[in-house]
Amino acid sequence: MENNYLRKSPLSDSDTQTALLLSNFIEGDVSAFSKLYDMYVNLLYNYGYRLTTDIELLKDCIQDVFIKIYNKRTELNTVINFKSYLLISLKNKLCDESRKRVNLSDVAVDELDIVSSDNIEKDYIAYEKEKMDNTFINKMLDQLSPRQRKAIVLYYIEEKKYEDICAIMEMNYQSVRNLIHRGILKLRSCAV
Amino acid sequence: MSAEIDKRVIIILVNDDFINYVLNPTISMKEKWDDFFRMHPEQIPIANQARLILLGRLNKKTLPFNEMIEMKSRIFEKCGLSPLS
Repeated sequence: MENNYLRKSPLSDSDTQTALLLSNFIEGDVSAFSKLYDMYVNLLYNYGYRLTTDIELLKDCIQDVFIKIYNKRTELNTVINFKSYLLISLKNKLCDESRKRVNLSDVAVDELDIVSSDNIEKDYIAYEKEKMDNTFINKMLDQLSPRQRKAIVLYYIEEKKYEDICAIMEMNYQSVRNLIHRGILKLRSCAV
Repeated sequence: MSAEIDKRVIIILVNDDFINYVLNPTISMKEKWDDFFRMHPEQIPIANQARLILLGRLNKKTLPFNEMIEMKSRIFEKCGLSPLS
């Protein structure tokens, strides 16, 4: 795989065009800014789409990234790779916004918070541990009836309120409480 | 959507080093990631998937054209630029 990464060819037409547009943009050419947007908005959208389920949040963040690069265009001289700069800016923006909102996917929220450039190996160890924990939890949950399992997952894992679970499962409040209670008793008996 | 992606792909996808490695590799990055893949060969297909996403070669998602235009108008407006620039 690494050979693919390092098959560094001479600058592509796209790279050359980007460098030229960036240079013109830094000098104040607004049409260059417009063309850079056209070239890269979908690079950002495609990337961000994998990190969040909230498309409106994603669009807001992409918008903010372009506004930021416009306002800080004089600092773009130091940018080594414009594509990397855009993607990392979007990821950081999504990370900032995720602290204010709770709509990123669970995975992305966790990862955006914890991943830094040096801890990739630690992440995998944590992932493997979590996978083992999840296997244990799933084995336990398999002991429950389908409805008990669904109610327990909604309440304890997805942290839904009783009222929401009632709506999702089309059951009344007391029935949901009983279902969860019986499920917990069953899990306790299995865990002994 | 993100929920469909293997968590291991997202872990790599949000790693700044990996993004730079894919889009602008250097010798030191190559050494670092070569070491990582030697120690974790099982991660190579995961990293390949992340790489294809970063390069827009895997099930690429795009904004509808009208939304692209609308977003550009909002950006220009917020930057105080003429809408048709």
